[in-house]
Amino acid sequence: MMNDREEVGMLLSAYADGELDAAGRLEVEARLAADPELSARLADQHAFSEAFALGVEDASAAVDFAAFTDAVMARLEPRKLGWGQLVRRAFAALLEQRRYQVALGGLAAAAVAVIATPLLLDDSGGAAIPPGLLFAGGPAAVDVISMDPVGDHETMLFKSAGGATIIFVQESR
Amino acid sequence: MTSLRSILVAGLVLCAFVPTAALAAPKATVAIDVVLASKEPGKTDPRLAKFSSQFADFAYKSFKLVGSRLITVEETKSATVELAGDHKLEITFTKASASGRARLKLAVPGVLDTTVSLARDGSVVVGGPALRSGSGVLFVPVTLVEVK
Repeated sequence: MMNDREEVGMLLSAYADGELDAAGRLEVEARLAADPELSARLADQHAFSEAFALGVEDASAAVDFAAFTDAVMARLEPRKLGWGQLVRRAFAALLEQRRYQVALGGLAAAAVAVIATPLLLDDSGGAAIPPGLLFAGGPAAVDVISMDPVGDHETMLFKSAGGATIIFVQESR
Repeated sequence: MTSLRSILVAGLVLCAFVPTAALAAPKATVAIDVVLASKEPGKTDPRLAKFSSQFADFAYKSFKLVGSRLITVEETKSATVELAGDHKLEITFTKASASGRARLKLAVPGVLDTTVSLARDGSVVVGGPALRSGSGVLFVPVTLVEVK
């Protein structure tokens, strides 16, 4: 039982905020009914609470929070990643899903194609070029080691007036 | 996933061995020009002015450039070039010398087998294979462009 005004007065704030249990509320309300001074203090309490709530709302409305996030992010220093971390991050999806096997297989196949294509083209008869290579070198650049006709043919070795080496073949007469 | 691994392994093995094999043997790059010569009067391809001047001693009156090819042959390997009519030229790079010359075996099946040694930019002309149509004979300048 509360029989001290100050003790009841300390409960007024909790009563005003609805924080007391049922027994506490009944006891405070009984004292309020019997004590006009306590009722006046409760009225002051309500008035103060309302004034405080309005003040907070006014203050928050006066502050611009739009750039708050940007200001915070601007103060953060980005973490610098090493090359290894950058590579791991770039291929994280492949590594997690084991698609790297497909990717490596594709790279290997592409490398083989790049290396093998010129070799295959060279062996298949060559590529067309514009003329202009006729007789680029001198007569000393040519040695005829052997010259054998096949079937009913005969061969002759000529040196043209310009020094070109000509292996001429014709059917035997 | 097993097939993917097989493809991966095969690709890596090829990548490891193909360049080694390619660099192991020297290769000769050879230019082959195919010229059709005729005793019938006619136009001579202006691109063959230098060629026709070399053949002033022959009785041919017109020359036509049928085609030009540039091929690369690895040492001890052969390559075949279609000439004209039924004629083909088989080129075998038999040997490379330290001086940069290349020994080439030139064969026109059924007509001729010859072996020549060419320095860089050296040319030899295989001439005379006749077309069955009787429309002329072939002259085939073979020029060594380089040996690598």
